[in-house]
Amino acid sequence: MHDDPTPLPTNVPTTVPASPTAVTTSPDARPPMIVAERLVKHFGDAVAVDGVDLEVYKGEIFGFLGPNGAGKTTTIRLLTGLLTPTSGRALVGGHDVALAPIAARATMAYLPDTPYLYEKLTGREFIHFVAGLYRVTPEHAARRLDELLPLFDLADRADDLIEGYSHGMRQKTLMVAALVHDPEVMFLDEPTIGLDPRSARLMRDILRRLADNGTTVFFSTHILEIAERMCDRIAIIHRGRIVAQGTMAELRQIARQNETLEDIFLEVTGGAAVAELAQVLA
Amino acid sequence: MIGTPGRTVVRQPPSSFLAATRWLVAARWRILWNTLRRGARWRQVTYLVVAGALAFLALVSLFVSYATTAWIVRLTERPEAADVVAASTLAGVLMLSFLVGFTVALAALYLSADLDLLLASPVSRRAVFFAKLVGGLAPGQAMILVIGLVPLIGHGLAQGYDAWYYGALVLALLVLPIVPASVGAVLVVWIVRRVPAHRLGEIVGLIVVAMTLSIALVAGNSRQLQSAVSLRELLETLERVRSPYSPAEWLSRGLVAAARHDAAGALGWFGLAALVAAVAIVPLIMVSDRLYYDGWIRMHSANLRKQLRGGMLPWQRPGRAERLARPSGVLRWFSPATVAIVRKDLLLIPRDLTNMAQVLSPLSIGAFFIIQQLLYPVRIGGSDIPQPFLQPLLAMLSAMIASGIAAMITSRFGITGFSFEGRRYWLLQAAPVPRRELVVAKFLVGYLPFLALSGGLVLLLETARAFSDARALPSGASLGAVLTALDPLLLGYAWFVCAIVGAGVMAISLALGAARPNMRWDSPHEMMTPDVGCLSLVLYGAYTAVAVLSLAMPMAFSRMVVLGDGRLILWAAGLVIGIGGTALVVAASLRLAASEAALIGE
Repeated sequence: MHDDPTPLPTNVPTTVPASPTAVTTSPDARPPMIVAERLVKHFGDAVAVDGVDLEVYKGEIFGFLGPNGAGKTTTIRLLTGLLTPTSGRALVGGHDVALAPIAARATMAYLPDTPYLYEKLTGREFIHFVAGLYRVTPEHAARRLDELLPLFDLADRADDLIEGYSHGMRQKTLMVAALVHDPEVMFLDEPTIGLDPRSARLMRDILRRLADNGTTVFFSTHILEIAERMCDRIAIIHRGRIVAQGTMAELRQIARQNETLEDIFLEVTGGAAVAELAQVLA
Repeated sequence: MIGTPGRTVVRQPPSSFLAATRWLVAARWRILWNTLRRGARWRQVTYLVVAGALAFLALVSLFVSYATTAWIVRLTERPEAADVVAASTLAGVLMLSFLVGFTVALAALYLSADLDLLLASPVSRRAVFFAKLVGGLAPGQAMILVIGLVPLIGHGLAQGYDAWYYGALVLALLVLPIVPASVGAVLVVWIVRRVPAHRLGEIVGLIVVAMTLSIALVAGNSRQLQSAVSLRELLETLERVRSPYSPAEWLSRGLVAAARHDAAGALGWFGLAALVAAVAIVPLIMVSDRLYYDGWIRMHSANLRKQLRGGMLPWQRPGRAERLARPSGVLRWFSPATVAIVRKDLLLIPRDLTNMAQVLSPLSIGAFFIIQQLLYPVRIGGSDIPQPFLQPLLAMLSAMIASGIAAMITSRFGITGFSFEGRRYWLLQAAPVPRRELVVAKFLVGYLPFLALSGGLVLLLETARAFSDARALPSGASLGAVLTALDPLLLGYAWFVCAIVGAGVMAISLALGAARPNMRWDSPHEMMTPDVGCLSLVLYGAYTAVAVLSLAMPMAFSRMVVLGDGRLILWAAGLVIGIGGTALVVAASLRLAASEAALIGE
């Protein structure tokens, strides 16, 4: 299911922090790092997320799929504490995101789909700023930058203002900023959008290496091929509800033995009609 | 079915230059109309209020122009002498058109969000250029023309001109903006080939504000000049500055010729102006295809040029970045997250010149008061010599002026503290930063510059006063005399009053800004909503009235009123009310800001 990771410096994920208070454990005794319990979010009359239940375990790469407007980004924003749920609760690293937000946020990193950054800061200044927010000492941050900037091919442009960066460079800058504080849990919303093939491959390899070293990775994507090749488990959300969840093998069983993730996705999200329409138009 | 021959799913844009231009301009007007008609209610009310204010100003200008023309005719007994009013008005319109033409052409041609879409579409680039220019310039130029039209109508009424004048007037005002618009567009197209458009926009904004303020400053300090110039001398000066090479002058001569039914003269002057306008606009349109697109391409490759300059700019020194989150100085008492947010904001604010443009106008008011202190020192009873009993009062006045100016500048940082984050607020929301630390950081972003600025202004104002006092002494304004006239105790107390008042104002600003943030801003002007602007004035007024009165009054009248033991009671009451009230205001406001900050983005 996974790509062979590109050889990376061994110090990319430097620490595997001790596990926080475990709620339950997976069959192989790994504690859940992300838990969603009946998460609901209303925006006025519209229901964006409708009773989402999830458990993602330590060291897992969890793919979160769904059509446009299905509730992926809202769910991620609820799990990261950027939105307050209408009901239900979210736990990250064993901490209730609503009751202990600071402790929960200290364990995680979040990369949004649109990398809005401070245009008039340099990449290096931005990363030091984020390091400060996460209470990483300037010395440690500088050491991590020396490791990470060349890895992401940013070393030459790190002292330019971000206003001159391309979308991909911004995404990579955010990734470096996210890794500076060695998060236990990473939330990524469409992380490979706008990245060139080399950077997208690098991103995938880094996420796999991070997961192998104990970091929990939760990401949403539209690219089913990436999800199929990278993820340990996948959840598909449709109209705010989880309509399928499990490993690829489990999903194949749910979706009547369909082989590819695309077929499964279309099956559970009612996209078969769209596929037929596309065939007619072709 | 999509793409089936013979079926048009989407209306195609026309291919000819004129039809494409009309199509694009119509789309632009549709957007404007939708913005007006379907915009928020408060925005519609604001437009109506602005329109009402403009109509009122137009009426005033009609009356002023009528009265001025009639007055000149009565004074000189030569009706043709009053035609200087028409010439001056058209010259003013021309100058305004130049200013607006450049800035609007820059915004319309290079800074619009839809340029990528338009330039990639199968529409003539020349049509995009022309439609953008017309669509961008039209609203501003229309307003300028109305500003010019109304006083010229007043002038015509006073002179008793007939329909020939009014017909020619409309023609003149239609021809006049073409030259400045073309020149502005040429300049923009030429400069953008060398300077990135966004940077140019910031620089132009700064220059326009600086120019406006310089004019206001000179006008405000020219009492003696005003009294020395008679109306007759003013008329002579205006006559002298009528340039025979200006299109405004040609049009004013054509206008006067038309008013006097001199058809040949009118045709000659209007023809000359129209010819120059055509010479300005036609070649521009002809070459715009290549020049405009070339400039646009260069703007997009500006990043590459920046890269080539690597290491030369001040922020391109890696060591500086490390200091961003390192506590030092006053900030050593705060958490690393607070330090990082404060340093980040204090780096970002001066790097965006649009922020600096907003700082200029309050600073110019400070310069105005300093010049006033130097030229017209405050004395009671027309005395020429310094009056020591006035010193505390003047020091407290300096404190009020300094805190007022510093608050005008830094309260914006408070009100827009959260809006300033805009779409990047997720970074602070997702970080493990307690809200109280975030609020304290945003408070410090405004308060630390306030302390420095108010302290500097108090020192400058008091030094100016001390210089005026020393100059009035027989020994003259030596350094020693100036230093002697400065009272360190008064200076210190004045700064203390500023510091207390500033804390309250900043906390109120922050609470208002957190309660009504505008996270989708594109420029600093859009960050503050009108209701917050009004409410802030009321709250600042109420708070500063209490704080300043209680803290400054005991000191201000300390050498003027003999109160005996009552003086101590006055001091004690003032300090308790001033400091205690401010502590309450700060605590309540920061608490409110923290609770409101939690709701931002929901």
